[in-house]
Amino acid sequence: MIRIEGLEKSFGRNKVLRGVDLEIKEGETLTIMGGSGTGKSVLIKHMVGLLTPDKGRIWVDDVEITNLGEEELQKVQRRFGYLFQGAALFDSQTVGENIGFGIKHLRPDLVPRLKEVVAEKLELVGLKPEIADLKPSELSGGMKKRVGLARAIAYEPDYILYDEPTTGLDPIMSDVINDLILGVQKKLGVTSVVVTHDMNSAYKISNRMAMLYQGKVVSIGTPDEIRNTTNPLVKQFVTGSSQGPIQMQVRTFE
Amino acid sequence: MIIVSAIGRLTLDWSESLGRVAIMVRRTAAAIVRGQWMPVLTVEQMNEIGVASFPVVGLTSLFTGMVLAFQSGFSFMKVFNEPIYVGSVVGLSLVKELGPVLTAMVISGRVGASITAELGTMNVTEQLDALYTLGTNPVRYLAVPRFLAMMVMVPILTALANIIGVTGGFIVAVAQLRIPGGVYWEEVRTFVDMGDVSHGLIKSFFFGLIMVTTSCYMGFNCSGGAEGVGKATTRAVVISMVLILVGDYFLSAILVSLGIGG
Repeated sequence: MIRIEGLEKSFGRNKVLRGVDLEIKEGETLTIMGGSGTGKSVLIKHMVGLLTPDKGRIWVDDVEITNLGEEELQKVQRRFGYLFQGAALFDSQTVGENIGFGIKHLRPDLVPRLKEVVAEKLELVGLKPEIADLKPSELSGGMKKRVGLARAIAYEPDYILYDEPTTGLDPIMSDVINDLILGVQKKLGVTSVVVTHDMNSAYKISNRMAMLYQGKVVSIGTPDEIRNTTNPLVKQFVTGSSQGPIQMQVRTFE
Repeated sequence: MIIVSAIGRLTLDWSESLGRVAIMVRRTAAAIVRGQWMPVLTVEQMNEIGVASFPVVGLTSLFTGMVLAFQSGFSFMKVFNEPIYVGSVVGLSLVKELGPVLTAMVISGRVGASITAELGTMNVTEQLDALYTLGTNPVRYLAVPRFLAMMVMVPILTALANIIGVTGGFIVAVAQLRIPGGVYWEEVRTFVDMGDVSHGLIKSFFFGLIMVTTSCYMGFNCSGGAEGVGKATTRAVVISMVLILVGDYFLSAILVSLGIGG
């Protein structure tokens, strides 16, 4: 369980989070949706202690992580897998070394059969074990995301955070990633938080969905509740309309 | 009012940066003292920083020694009608000043820039965040091996640069200035003592620290994509070079006052 209370964060004069309250239940997949620049990625980086809040508190199970020292925080971080937006694979290492990285540092018990585990995880995300010797620069965008996912789940974490897992992918590859997220959820029974603005993906993979707007969670509910919402902010976002209470700054060409 | 606020902002930015540098150095030093460093990565960095830099450092010092002998020989010929003290001029200038400073300049351009570019790219592509989530502290994994490699390899490269430079001076002294080889080496031996050698090597150790601290800090703290990495790399090299030249004076003064190479 992850619990967030009154989370605030600013970068310089830009106040990104203005009091977020959110609870992610054990074993569920919660999607955080919202427009670009609303602080979705900032929010999940707080959950794993990559950012420190200006105000507010965060609990992972019973541990409050906001004021932890380096060593204690690392113990909590080890329970998380994180799929980064651009996959964040280590350029200097092969695919196999990338996937094995977390195992070497977090699961020494699996090191004797490292090659086997890497091959297993690659197969789990629908990739051939032979690609283990390739460098990340030799992979397509979709393959990078899948390798990123394999790396995030390799050491069997309790929580997985997905930062825009389908962004930049074609619709078919996006659906492949959605199926992978569902498959990982089913197989490992982890608690997942997914940041996305891809509504098809959100409806498919979520147990609950939360909408972030102007630094606060403005609505939370099951996919059906969100689909049939009367909240004008959420309605505008899920239907993808430019008309409504959410005003974007756009430049018009005359 | 605008000027006061600009000065205030600049002071705050500088204080914040210095604080971050201090935290990074403290964490790195703590990891080194506790023995939390990875031998394989450290040896890799020693190879990258030391072995791979040797050809360019060697070439630079060889020609520096040669030009020093050439210029001092012909200048002394003008004044004294014979090329005297060439060995002492080449030896002292190389061992105390040019060896450490030029080696540091070459390494700053070659290695310092690559450290900032590599760490900076890892930073803007979230690879540093990925390290945290994979149970690894980036300071321990990336900074510590680079710090250790720089602290060891820069003095070693400087020592080699001194030897090569003095040998370069010898070649010019014998082949062009017609100074007997024995006389040249005797001058070097007479005027350059262990204090002078230590003076240069101690400075080179601190130059290594300046370079690696600046490069790692700039890499860890850059933002703004490819453009940001480029700017951070340029800044790292410029700041390193300026700090080395400014630090050279103060380090020299301190060492001389301590009786090392005075």
